[in-house]
Amino acid sequence: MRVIDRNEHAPAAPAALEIRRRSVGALVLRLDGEDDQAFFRSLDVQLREMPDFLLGKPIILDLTDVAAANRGVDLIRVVRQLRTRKLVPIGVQSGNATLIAAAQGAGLALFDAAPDEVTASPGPAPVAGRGTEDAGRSPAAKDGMAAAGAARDALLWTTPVRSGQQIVCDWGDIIVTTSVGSGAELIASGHIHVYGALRGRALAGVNGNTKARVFCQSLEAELIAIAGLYRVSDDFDRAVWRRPVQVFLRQDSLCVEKVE
Amino acid sequence: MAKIIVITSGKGGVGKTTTTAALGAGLAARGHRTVIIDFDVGLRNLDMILGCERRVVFDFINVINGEAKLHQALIKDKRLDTLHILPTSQTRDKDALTTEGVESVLDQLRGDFDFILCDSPAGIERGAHMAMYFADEAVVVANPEVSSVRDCDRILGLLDSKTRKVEREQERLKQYLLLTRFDPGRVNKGEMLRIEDILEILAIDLLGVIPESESVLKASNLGMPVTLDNKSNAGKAYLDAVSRLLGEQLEHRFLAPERRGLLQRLMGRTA
Repeated sequence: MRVIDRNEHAPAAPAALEIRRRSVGALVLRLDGEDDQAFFRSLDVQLREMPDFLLGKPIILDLTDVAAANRGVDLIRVVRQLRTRKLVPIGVQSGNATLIAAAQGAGLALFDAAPDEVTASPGPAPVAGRGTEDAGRSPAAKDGMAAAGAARDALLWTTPVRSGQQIVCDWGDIIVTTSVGSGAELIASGHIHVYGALRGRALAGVNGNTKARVFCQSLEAELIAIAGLYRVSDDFDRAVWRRPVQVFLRQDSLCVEKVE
Repeated sequence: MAKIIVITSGKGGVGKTTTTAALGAGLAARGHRTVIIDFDVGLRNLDMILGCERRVVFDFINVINGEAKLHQALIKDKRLDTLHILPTSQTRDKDALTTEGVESVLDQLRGDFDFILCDSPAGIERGAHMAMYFADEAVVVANPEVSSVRDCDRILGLLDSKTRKVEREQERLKQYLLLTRFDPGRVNKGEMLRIEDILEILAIDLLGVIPESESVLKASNLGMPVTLDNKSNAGKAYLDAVSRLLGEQLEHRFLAPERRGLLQRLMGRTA
């Protein structure tokens, strides 16, 4: 057996057991303070709309609200229900002594609440009401989805993004050097740059990054969202239509500005 | 080895089968051994457009299921001995198209022909997927109309991801746009999309622009591919498209409204 810590050189001899340390990015799901049923209902809506966002990813259950409500929770059942939805719960954070004991009984690891956590919303619900004045906020944002901040990097796309294609980058920016067709969808945790016409949907900052922006050479988009706040093409001022623009959040409102 | 070309569109009724018949007959008339396969299982039309519906005994699905030999199902055109048709079944559905079955039929045809044209059904489901999966090149047919152009964009996305060439070689297949039912007069009135706008949206090469023409409907009803009637503008435009498919560089024709004499104007749009 050998144990390798990051800064240590491994001995040359082969070993039957090798232990390494690595840190992983996990998604944090906050359990509802009142009611598990409400939590699973929201979760099922989320899974239907954006299955890839959660499936197969390691998940930490946040027990802050449950502890505050001082209610008991059958974690074995919750874990079973998550697994039947093909989610992978690995541990809990922020519980009281009773909850932590229950978590250990359910075979879950114990994590410290991370300081770099940001509230995430994986984009607006595509049909859940059209935002006009207030630019509707995605229901998922309220459900307390959270994800650890991702490293800054970019996904470069050089062919036209066709109707029906969905490009997802949950670890940084998306840069498209051509046009994005009507009915196509770009989803990024960071910024979105389109060096052609943007005719489809662009969802930037989907993990809750309110600093994310959308840039395009010609605004013809069906929908633009930043951190869950969105506008549809009807909401855009004709003065910015088909112009090079940037879209950003200012005090919870989606601003579109020409960049000519 | 034959080159496999899929003729597809996503949207129905834009002229896929008419185009397949016209391009197939055009290639065959230039001396290339050509076979046209109907992938629209259950809605068999290609045989009628080519005027051989009364000679169908066995079909594509019989061959896939091993109920008939390929040479029993292939129909040789009476006008062009370089043109063959593999009709499909009217009684079965798209599930009868298995990947292995389609691949085996195409492999058998590859050695004996120069071009294999696959006439895709509308939609993006199994039939359309099977028609495009083994293709080397694609001709996407559209009308100058917004929904047709968007469906076209969708199909182009599938051609970039759901074909064997892309899966195996990580290489995009060559894609052409063919615009049908183009009416320059209506474009000038703003009732139809302009060619430049369509090309800007789709960003692919233009294979041809077929003017709206009565000769197309007439040819279909007579079972005579429009390229065999090279007096009509539509027939000429399709023959130009055939030349471009063969690598020739030609100017696009029939893009401006036709000048009409006083008498024709008085007679209205019947000419």
